[in-house]
Amino acid sequence: MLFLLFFLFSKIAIAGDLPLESSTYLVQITGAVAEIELEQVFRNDSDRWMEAEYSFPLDGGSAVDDMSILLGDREIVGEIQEREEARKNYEAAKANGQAAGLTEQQRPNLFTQRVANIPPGQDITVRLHVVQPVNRVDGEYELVIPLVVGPRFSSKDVQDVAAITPAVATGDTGVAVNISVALRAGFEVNKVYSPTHEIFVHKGVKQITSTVENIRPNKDFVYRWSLETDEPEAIALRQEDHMLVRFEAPEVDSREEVVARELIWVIDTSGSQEGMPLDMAKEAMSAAFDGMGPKDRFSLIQFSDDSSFFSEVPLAGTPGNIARARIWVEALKAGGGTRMIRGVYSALDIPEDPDLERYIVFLTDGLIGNEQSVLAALEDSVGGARVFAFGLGNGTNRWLIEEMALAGGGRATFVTGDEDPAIAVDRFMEGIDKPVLTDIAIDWGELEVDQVYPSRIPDLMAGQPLELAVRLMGGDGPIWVTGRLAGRPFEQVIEVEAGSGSSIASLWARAHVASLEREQRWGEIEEVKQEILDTALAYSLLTQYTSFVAIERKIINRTGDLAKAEHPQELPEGMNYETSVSRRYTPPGDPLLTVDAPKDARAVLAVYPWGDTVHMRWDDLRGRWYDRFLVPRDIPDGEIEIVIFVLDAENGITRRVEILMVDSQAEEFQAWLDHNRQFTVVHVVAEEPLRAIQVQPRGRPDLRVRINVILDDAMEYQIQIPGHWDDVELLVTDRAMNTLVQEVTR
Amino acid sequence: MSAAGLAMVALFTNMSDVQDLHFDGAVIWAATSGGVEIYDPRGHVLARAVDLPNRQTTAVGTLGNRLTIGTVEGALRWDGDGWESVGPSHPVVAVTGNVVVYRNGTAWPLEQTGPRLVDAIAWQGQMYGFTADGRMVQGDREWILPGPVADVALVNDEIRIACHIGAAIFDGKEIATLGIPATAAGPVWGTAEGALVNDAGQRVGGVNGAIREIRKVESNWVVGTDNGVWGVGESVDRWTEDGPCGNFVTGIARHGKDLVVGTFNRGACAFDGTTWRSIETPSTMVNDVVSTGDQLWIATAEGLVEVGKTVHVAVKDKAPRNASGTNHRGVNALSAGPNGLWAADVLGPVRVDPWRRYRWHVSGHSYQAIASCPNGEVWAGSEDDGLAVFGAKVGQKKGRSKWRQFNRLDGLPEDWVMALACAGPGAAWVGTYRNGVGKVDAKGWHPLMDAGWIQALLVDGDRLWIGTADGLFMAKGEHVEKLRAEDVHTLYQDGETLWMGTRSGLVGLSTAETNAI
Repeated sequence: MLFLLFFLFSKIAIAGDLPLESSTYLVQITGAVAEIELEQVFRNDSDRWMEAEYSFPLDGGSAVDDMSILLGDREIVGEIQEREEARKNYEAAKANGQAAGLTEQQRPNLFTQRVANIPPGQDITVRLHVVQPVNRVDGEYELVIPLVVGPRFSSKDVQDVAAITPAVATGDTGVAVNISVALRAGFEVNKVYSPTHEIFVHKGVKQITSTVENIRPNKDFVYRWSLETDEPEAIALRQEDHMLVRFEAPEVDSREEVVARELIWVIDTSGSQEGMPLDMAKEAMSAAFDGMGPKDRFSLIQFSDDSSFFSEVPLAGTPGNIARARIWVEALKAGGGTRMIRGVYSALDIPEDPDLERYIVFLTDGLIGNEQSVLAALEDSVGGARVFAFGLGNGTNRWLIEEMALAGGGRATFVTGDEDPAIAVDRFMEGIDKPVLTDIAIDWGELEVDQVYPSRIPDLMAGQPLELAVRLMGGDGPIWVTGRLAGRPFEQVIEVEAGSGSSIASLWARAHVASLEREQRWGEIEEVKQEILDTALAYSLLTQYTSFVAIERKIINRTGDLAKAEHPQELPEGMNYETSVSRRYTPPGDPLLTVDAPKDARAVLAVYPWGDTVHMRWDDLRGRWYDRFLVPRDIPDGEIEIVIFVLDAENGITRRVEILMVDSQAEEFQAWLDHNRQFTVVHVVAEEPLRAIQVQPRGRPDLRVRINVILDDAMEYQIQIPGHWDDVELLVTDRAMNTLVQEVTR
Repeated sequence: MSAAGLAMVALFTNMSDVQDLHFDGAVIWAATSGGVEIYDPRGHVLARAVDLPNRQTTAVGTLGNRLTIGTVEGALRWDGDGWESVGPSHPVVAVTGNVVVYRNGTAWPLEQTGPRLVDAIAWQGQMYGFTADGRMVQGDREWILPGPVADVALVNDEIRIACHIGAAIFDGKEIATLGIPATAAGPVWGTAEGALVNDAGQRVGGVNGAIREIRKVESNWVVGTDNGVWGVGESVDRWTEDGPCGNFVTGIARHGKDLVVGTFNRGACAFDGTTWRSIETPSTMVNDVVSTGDQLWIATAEGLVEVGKTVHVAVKDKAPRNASGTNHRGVNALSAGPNGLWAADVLGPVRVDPWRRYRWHVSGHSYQAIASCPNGEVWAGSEDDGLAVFGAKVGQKKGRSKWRQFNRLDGLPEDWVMALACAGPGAAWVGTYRNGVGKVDAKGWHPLMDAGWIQALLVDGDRLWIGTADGLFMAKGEHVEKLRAEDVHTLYQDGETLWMGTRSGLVGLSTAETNAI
């Protein structure tokens, strides 16, 4: 019945007329660079003058280098200004009754568009020019157009929560997204497809055009193509004084013995992973387990509000350990905030074994607000480990996930809800066994190089691309890439192709700014800020310190009336509002239920099965809604469902179910003793997963041994006590903290 | 020594948390979680019914023309001299049509079974029940409503149903739904934001509180909210007088001239002898309060509040050892002793003054109780591993830690410790979740009382006060006597007054006569 309710209310989820009518992306791909003309049409169907606000995503590596607004047949060209100045000019124009547009960057992949004084019954169009490098993924090329801003979890240290947490609607916001991609690959194209959307493809003589129309902005658009040639990519495109160089490490077989691996898997189990994303993570882990063997060591960490281990010490990938790990992963449930930093610290705190090649692999949606803290922690403590990150699901924070991989010298891989995560993991497991291209250096030949980003070239794994943005002072000729691969010298020559345009200059400026931003992980540095500002103003680039503002000269609104309308985001497909309880297993007591819903929600309700329906309260400290409740003493043991309704500011309704296990009794367990050469081995087989086991020889509490097995779903345990004993006492603690004592004799 | 020796000298309850309103043609009865308040139609308080067998009232109506109050433990009917308990002891959701309807779907004196209910109403000789998951049931029939039911009312021969995220009107045949997120039903609808709106969704009035009940009295609206009873007519007036911040009292302390209480989810407040005022805390979830003379401390689910100075929250792992803070933001209990203030947080005991935040490698989690004793011993109680003890030679020493562990392997009847009190050098009184009260010393566990939910312990000379979910007990030697039937969560001695924090208010009891004994 409640399921029916959800749909009943989905229909009325969108109240009133929302300002954004359509977003159209006209994409021109030439070689390795995509230029996007983005048109956002803001329509005012009300009888009042309107200011519209809309948050929208772009690829984290993209450069926004031009903006204008169209009012009727007039185009007002935007100007890049310092952020505060642009905001001041926009506010003044707004108050003055002039049509105005303001584009601000909140994160490298998250932007806010404001349009003031849209006349009643008319529209204003915002045009943005975006330059974006295409990705090279496993031998194919890929363009990703992010379309949805996933609701981010922000801890209280995030200063700009409001700016990065736009309103969320539950249903269709009525925005028509149209995408047209014109592909000029430069080589014969083998295949064009989209794993996320059905596209209409037209193959012309000079280019291939692919279109998709009237789609919802609830998942990213991914567009891929492959070429007839399967040669590793090696290109250098030059536009006057700027150049883009890209090549990838070749795959070779090696006779050298493969170094033993240590794989630390860090799994995001926050509330936003509920449903499809966590299911994908479990599928990914299943594939990972298939790919591990006894020579590998592995550890599993889950994080949400807190983090916990499958085993604090990495274990050998024996069939027994793998089987237990599979059960542990299968039992993971989503809930709580995305405190990724806890997952990062947990992974980095595991002592390194110098004999093993360590890989830290994150499975996450990356939907957090404190990206810089996470990246700073990674860069600070990653040591010799390589960091890989899988972005699973729709609407992931691609920029963060890519930066994490970059910080750890690894790769980011994205798997949308329409793809199979097992394939991506299989490829990763194979890839890490292949020889790495090391000691990479570039011989620029006759070219006079001014600045190159990234300035430090990492080792590359097989198939891993490297992209360099170069500013030149002059010169000509090819370049050489040198290094060592599988114990032998490696060299590749790359011819430079010359072209026209300024898109590579924008990409260089973006890479330069990104490099500078990495220097500010721990906080703002005045000189760095000034250099970003100078670069942005020189290259007409949208950054955290510069914004585009376009202002119509004429005063068009003399009424003094201006209604504000924020266009909400759609929830990424497969995602729901996150909820969590402080303890999932409990005897009757007082757990805390929290829900990550917008602060301005009209109501957040918790419906408890014993009959209480509670209006939850907003907690400023947690930045979440909460209810502290008591599980009544007469509730029998078993699963209970708490139904949560979020009635948002637009009267949209979402519904979630949180499961709580009431467990007031520790189950009986079987135990027996063995002796080996030095120890008494106590075997415990429990009926339910345990939290802790304590063992002592009868009358010898000084020899008590305690093991913590938090979140371990195994039911068979072995504990060793020094010496040979025939009579021991066991104390087990279950997940709900019920305890039971049993005596075991041999 | 008897209950007569514990005369009630004070009772503070919060009458703002209105559960039901009843207008009997002359006066208005407001059922709240702290008792019943009676108003005249102009909003003057006429009387309060607080010395009830259970003050957590949920409904009010008539049964055989006699006023009847529903509580969380059954119904009470006024017999002219006092309150008589009628029907079973289940939580009551409505008193309607001469029937008491219970949350478990049963009714009295009718024989009825059905789903768990949140409200019920008698109409045209039939009983209609309403569920939390949004259904209306009558006999075998069932209708789906637009949301979980908050309130129902009979107006102009139609049932009007507030469904939190919508509203519905039932004319006997069909359900008509409205897109009004209503929390109260009446001739107009009430919302959680305090608005009174008509069927067209237009605001016709409002109050400062989430509306739960609406009654038309003469030409005015009487509105019950989570912030008291309001009269809405030519003016909007709050009728309910201020009381303590909440009824579920979890901590009590005397700080200077103020009596300070903390509540389960309504924050903390102080009484100066005349008025109550609220104390600002970062979280409304208060677990304990303690005064160290010049400073007042409040333990909350979000950190330890040093009132007027700062909030001590969990420090980062890499912070220096003497950095101000706690191990975890959830602080559960406080105790002031000769070596400063101690707190029990989720990860273990913390010495607050001076700060000694580092982990003592105590095993166990979610420490719920702490006692800092005059001789310097510190006893801390966890949910899953019994006691961590500093200074007393009980249980086992663990590695190089200065703390000793005492759990079921050492003789504790269970590992979930809810309350602690010092019992002289080397000993402590220990209250458990399911296995009663006993004393722990070097010889082990010595049981005193067999009961569950031991929530508070207080040593007073040679007496031990024991607060449980079932009542207040006093132990002297091996003799234990039950003195009051209340759900006691905290105890505090203030001269000859024993303050008792319950689920339904703050109770002051005189111990003068028991002192004489």
